[in-house]
Amino acid sequence: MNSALADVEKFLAQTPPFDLLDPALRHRAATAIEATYRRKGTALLEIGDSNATLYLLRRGAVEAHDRHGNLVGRYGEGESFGVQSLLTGKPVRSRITLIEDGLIWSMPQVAFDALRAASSEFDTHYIRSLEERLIAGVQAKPKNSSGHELFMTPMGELLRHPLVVVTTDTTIAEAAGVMSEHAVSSLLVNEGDSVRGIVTDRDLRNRVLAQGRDPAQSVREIMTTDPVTLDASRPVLEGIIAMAGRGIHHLPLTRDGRVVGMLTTRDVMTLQTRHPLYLAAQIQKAGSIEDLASICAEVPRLFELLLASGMRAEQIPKVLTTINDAVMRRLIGLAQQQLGPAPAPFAWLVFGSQARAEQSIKTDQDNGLVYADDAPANADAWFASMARIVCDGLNGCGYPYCPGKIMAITDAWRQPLSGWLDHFRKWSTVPDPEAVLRISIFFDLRAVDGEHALAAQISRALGECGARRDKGAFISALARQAASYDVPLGFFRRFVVASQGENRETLDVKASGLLPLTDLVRVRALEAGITVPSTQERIAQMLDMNRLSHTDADRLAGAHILLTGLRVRLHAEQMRRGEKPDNHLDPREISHSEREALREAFLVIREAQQGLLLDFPR
Amino acid sequence: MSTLQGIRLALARRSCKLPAQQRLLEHPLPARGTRVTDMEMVALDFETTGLDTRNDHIIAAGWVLVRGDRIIMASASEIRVRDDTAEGVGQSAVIHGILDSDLNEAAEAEAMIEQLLAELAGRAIIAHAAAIERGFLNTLLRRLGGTSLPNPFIDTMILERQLLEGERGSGRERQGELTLDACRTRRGLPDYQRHSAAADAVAAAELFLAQVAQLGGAQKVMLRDLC
Repeated sequence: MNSALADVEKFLAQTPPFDLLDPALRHRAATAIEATYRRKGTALLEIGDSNATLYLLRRGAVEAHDRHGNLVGRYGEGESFGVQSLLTGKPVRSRITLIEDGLIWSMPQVAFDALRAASSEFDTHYIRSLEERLIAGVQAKPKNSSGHELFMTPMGELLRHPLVVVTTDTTIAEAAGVMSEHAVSSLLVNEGDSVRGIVTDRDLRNRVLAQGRDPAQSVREIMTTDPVTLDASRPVLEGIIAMAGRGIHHLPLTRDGRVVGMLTTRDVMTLQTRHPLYLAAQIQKAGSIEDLASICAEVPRLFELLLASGMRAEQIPKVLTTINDAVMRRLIGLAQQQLGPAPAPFAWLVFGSQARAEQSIKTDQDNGLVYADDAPANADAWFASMARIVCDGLNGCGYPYCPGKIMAITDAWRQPLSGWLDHFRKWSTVPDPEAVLRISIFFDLRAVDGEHALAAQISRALGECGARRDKGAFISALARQAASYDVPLGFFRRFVVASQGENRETLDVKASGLLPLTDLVRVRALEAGITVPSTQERIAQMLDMNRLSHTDADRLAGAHILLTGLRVRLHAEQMRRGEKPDNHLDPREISHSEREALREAFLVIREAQQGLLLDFPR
Repeated sequence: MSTLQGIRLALARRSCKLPAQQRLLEHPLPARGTRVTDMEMVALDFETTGLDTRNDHIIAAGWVLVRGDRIIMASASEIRVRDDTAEGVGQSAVIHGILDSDLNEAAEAEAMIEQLLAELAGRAIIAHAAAIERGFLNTLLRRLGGTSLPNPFIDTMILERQLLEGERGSGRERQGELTLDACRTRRGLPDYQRHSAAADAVAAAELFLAQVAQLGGAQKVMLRDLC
């Protein structure tokens, strides 16, 4: 039977970070606990209290309110409070009130400190910086160590064909028929449940035809017995070494000791062809829009493979954007082959997430075109034809038309330089947050092809829009817009707690996280005259210019990495299930560390929003 | 300590032949006007072979100290009891999961009582359906030359019935609404490892704290409100 504290230890074992303690330390933790019971409405900690106790909710729920009475958090079973004051020794910053009757466990600081001293894992949970905690949230999942190389992909990910099995009493002729029927180049030969050998198309040639063997004989006569097998979870690299070393072309893969599929050298070769570099090269060579479309059909698969190969989720949008850019350039090239050379210098512009290189798997087009002011009179007709080819082509390649018509086929977004400069001049005086919302996408801008100098002039105008604090109607409208997003407080049981305290079923990663974050970074960047579109790059430049402290820069960057990674993983999971990717994350699907990291990310964003409201008062 | 309790302790001391209990009886017990917040209590649970205090016996004892309105987890203890005078565990093993073989490692009843008595000095006793603990404890004490316990007993089952009757009339026991499980479920207390004596003692202690909270809190509730 168990110790007298078995129940206490069991609960601790399921409750981060106590789950990090080894059993002996967990027992020690259990003996340090005292339990009390309090009724709903009781305040457990008051602002300004000094606190030397770690509280852990065993049952019930509490809310935290700041000194203005704003709700700042809601916590349920298994969650701790009082931690901040315990760690810093500073007075309590939020009032903690029971919103349900609660059974509360408490642990004195001495015992808490002793646990931290005795377990580095437990200690690390508390000492990591906010940024580390944010990123730990994303990195907890992909455990693939060394990296980015596609050759670290688990072999199981490459299996293309269903496993085809025959028995030892199958004749050679029958086996050949089965191969051709299933369009496979090898068969597994079983006796009962156990593997006896494999037969490949090479065996048919070398051991049957070349030797004049009777096809009525059993496959047993020509099979390779006791074939080398590897576990499907092993990296592709191991498979390549195994096959190359033995001069074989087929490798049965196992899971839990059972053969689940046959890896072929051809499968390994197609892996290479899905490498983003290879894909980019293929895109460059594509001779027609149809070719491009069929290459682009591989992109969703690439997305999964990159994740499986251990690439960090937050890097994937860059790769997807690179591919999107390459497709665009190729379409522009194809259009010029068809229409002849451009009548004037031009630049193909992209906006929004493509400009920021923060695309996810499903992205609409957002593009435009600028051409030289001294273009001949009929030049616009030529550019309109090119835009038509490119935008139709993109749509055919899996990048749907922009529902808001922000595309180079729309006259307003296909302009000589002076037209674009007029746009930005007009926008710089827009005072209305609603109107600002419609144009903010243009403030993430990048040239994908053509004369980058043209785009640079637009960027300069864009930078001036933000720097005009004197006429600051536009920038403060943009700031108020960025501050107006409803960013959640955190999670409570299976819900997302919205900023007004209501419980929601799902978290919209984009609307409640990425959008407000990219928007507020954009405002701060424009304010500083920074015109690069990428959120991380904007943060880095603001840091260089001392517009941001190291801490704030780390926090914003960490929050962005966390949210980007979560969104990528959400989309990958939705695609794996055959669903259309959307941004709704079910709080039940994320780990405790992700919840904690997200809670921190929300805090970072909400604090930055408050900063905007202070700097840009109405 | 009230006069009545003083007399009770004095009488008990005179008739007690068990040294461990004689020491216990030196300690003054909480008076009926003592507030919960100023009181120490021991929540106690026995696993027994049956309900008959003469023929059945204790096979495990679990307890935990409650100081004011705080359960001190470090004090939680569980002791298996071997009783060579009786037959094996028999049918009750189905309920407790304690097999005869487990009991080979167990303490003599006398050793268990010595440890328990040391915990009970000056403290009230909390138990769910306390008649069982009280009956078995007193029977065992008398067998060992001691005397009935003068400590106040707080019965969380009786308390629960009173609290419920205050709300909606009587007659609940038969419907199984007063079992420790039912009382805890009604109050939203978490699941626990049933039929471990220590876990049952902690479970009763938690129920007790919930009841005290309902009665107005440890600062207000006195021993006389509880038994």
